[in-house]
Amino acid sequence: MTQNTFLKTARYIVIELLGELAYFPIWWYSRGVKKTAVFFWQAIINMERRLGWSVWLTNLFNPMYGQRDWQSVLISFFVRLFQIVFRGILLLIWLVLMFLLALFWLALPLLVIYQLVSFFNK
Amino acid sequence: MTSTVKKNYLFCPACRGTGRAGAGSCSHCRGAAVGLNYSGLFLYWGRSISAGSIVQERFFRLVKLAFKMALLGFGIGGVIILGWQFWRWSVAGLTLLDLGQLVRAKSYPMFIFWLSLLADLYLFYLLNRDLEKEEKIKEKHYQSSLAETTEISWEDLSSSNQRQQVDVSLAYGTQANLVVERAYQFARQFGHRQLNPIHLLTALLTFNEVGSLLARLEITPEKIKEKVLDNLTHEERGVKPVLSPASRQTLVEAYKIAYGQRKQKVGLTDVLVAANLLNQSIADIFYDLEIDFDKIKNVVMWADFYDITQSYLRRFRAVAKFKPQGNLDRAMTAMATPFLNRHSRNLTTLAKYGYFSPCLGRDKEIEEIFRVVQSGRRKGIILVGETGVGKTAIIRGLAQRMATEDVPDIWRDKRLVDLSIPSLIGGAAPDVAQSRLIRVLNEITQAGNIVLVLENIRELLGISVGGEESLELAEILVQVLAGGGFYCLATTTPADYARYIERSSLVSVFQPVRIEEPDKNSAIQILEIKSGAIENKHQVYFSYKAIARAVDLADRFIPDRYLPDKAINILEEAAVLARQQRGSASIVRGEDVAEIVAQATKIPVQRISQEESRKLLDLEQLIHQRIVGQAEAVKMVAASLRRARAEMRDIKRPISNFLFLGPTGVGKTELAKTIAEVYFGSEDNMIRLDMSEYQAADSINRLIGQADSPGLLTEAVRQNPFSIILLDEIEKADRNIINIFLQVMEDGRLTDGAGRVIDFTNSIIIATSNAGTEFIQDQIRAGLGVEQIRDQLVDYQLKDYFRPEFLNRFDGIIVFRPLNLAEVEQIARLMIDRLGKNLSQQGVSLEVTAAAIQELAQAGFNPTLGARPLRRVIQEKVADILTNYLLENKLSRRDVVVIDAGGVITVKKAI
Repeated sequence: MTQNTFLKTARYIVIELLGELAYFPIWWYSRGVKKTAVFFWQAIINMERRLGWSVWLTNLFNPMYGQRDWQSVLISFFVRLFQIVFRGILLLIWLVLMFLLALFWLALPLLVIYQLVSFFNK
Repeated sequence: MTSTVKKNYLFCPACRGTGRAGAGSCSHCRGAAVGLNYSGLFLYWGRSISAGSIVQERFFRLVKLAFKMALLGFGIGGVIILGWQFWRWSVAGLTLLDLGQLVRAKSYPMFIFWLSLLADLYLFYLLNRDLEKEEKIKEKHYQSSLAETTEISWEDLSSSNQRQQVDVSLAYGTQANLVVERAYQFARQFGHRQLNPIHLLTALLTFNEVGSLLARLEITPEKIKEKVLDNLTHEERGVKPVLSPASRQTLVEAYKIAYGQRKQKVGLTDVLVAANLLNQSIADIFYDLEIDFDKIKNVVMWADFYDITQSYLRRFRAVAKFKPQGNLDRAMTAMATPFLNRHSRNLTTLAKYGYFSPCLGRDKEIEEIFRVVQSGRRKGIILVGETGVGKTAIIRGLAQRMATEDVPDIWRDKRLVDLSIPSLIGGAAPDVAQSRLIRVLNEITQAGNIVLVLENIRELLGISVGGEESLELAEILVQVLAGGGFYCLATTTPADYARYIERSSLVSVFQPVRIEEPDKNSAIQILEIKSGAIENKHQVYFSYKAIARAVDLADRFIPDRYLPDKAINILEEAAVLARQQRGSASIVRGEDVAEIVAQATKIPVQRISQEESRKLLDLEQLIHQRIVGQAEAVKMVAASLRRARAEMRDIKRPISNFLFLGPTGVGKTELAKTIAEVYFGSEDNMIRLDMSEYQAADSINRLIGQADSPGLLTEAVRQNPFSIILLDEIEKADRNIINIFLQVMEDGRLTDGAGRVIDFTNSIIIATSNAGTEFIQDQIRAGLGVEQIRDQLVDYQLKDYFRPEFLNRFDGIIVFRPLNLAEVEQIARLMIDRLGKNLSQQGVSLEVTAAAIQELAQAGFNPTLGARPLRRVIQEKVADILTNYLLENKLSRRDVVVIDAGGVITVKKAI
């Protein structure tokens, strides 16, 4: 009984814990990529919603504060244009940032291993 | 009652459902032992349960956990090392620009840091893998509900269709798995041969979650433990218990239940419900505690509601944060609305910040509103429903939907604004009110991002400027809405809709959406959702019985208000009561709710106490303390009261309808009064109508009232539904009025002049009549029995007064016999006793000799007038004289007045 339990435990550790180790890199660059992409994409979407960039864009020719005289329409157009450019820049910065972070995260295991290997090559 | 479900289960014939053959597992069924074909799947319990396997699995779990903890610890260590390196770096006077050097440094500490980072990543990966590998309950598909017919047998199991075979144990959650393990340990400790469902129940009782569930059912742990232990003693004894077929079945059934509810994992409650459903002995345990299967199911659903509400709130908060908080839309196209803001509330903003409790279970109505919006036919929607059915709740639900933009496109990026009509036009002269309304409507139209809410739109009607030709306020709204200005949501009651809206021009721009009163089951669910907030507010917990009874009793005894509001009010009051009586954290029980309802309606709805049940059983005796003779009448009335209290009657009709027939002065009215005093608490709880006052057809208005004035009868019953209604001398009333009572006695309800339905199902109706008096007297003199007299009365004599269908409505037609001298003597004794009681308040006692009583009775006896003259005789010959004595100060305290034959009155002075 004890012998049996010991064998089972040993088998469990080999398969469950070490077997997983072999799958680690494969997972990281398959399912892991998808997971990372979804996470950062959501972060970008949320920022877009927060900035309301698409809302500003679709309302470019729509006067602000319901003022429909031609002066207001003109002013509105330029204010909106400024907002769209300004918010667009913010969104672009965020987009690039998220993209870089995602790349960094995906490359992290390689970077770490490179560091570890290079330690022995010093 | 529930064991019929077993028929779909397959039991392996080789191992007889144990999964074992000799030392190993059964080869025929591969250890599956018991299976169920369900929805195209073959379900079985695959996990083997033994002392060894439990220890082993626990050990594995521990190893796995330890490994992860080690990774975590290493990771944290790495961060600390990095921090240490930074510190050393900064002490050395290096700046951030040199960071690259640190990263590239090939020192041992940095090597360990990199290694620990790898451990972090590996831990992240492992946790993700756990989530991925976790077996979940198969997803339910709508079309698969009939697939139960494609069955798999044991022989098929070895062959291909692996996909359809489901080992349910893999989808058991941590706690549910623990139940099985603990059940095994119990079976082993007790030395039982099998692990049976009773062991599963025993194990379930050790979990807090189940404990609080039982508390909701008003079961104390002691009560159920006692019963469970009693059951455990009947178990067969043996060593090394095995999982019994019944247990396997229960465990598979739990999966089936969780599958039906689209859960991801089997939980504790699923096992509890399954054990109850499949095992008669367990069902019996609960049944003895007054818990049937439905109650268990509903209370489990309640617990699920809590989870649903929580996850709803999480999702709501995540999305609602994007809604702008002010009065502007996201596109900044809206105009400022300063005047509107002063008289309104922005519901969308309130919803965004969580001021409203989640609106669940109202999807049907909200979808209907959206359909009207999308159809684009009308800009106005009017919710028509009684007060308290949830119109405001639906509007708040809409505000929440708007906060998360979960609305038709045309309503996106808009706000829901509740305009207070009283605040806008209250106290203003009509022309001012008009200009204010125009100003507000203009603001709303120009703003363009507002959906207007007008609660109780009727308040706008009936205000007009100048003469009859002028414009009504509602007319202005109609013009704006017809011009397509903005969307408007209004509310009103059905009565107001019929009386005012339908006759006004509003009907042309408003599409009605009916909001019906929810049925009892939906009301229970709404209360379950609401209960959390009330519990928080008053620091108490509701039992399931409290909620179910609140709905039940409100539905039955508060007919002029509507669910769910009236039940919510009762719950609130019961919460306050429980808190006052038993402090915070106590449980509000069904009896607390009953007490509140009893207080409000004066109807005894609580459980019958011992004292009351004794009183009910001795009712005849109690009545006879005041009523002499008329045993049959007393017996019938007492029996009807007992039936009413024990709920052994038709609850759709009045408690009882009686017709008392007989000459005057024999005790008909007295009996009614006595019942009112003995059972309804006081003679005042009697609604007495002298029907001779209702001889004209138009007197009906006095009885049931008119639109502006309440009716004598209907108002009295509305305020005091639990009472006796005495209709004196009914034969004198107009035919039309008698017809009204025909309906009351049949249906137990009556619509009053104001259109309210008055509930008569908790009243006793007693009609008295002198019709046929002479006939009764003649027949009694001729020596006929009361029974025969009654039959003849009903068949012939009463036809002149009442229609046969009216007589048929009575539960009892009781003939009161004329009194004989002996009975009049007893009555005289009762009257003298009452007089003595009055006198004793002055400290003087009264003694009356038997001869005196006889004399009084003889003087007061009149075969045609019954006992009525007796009262006058006693008044003249006894009461008046005693009064004079008192006024002349001839009596002092502790004196005894003796009354003897011949009207001789002596006073024994106190020594």
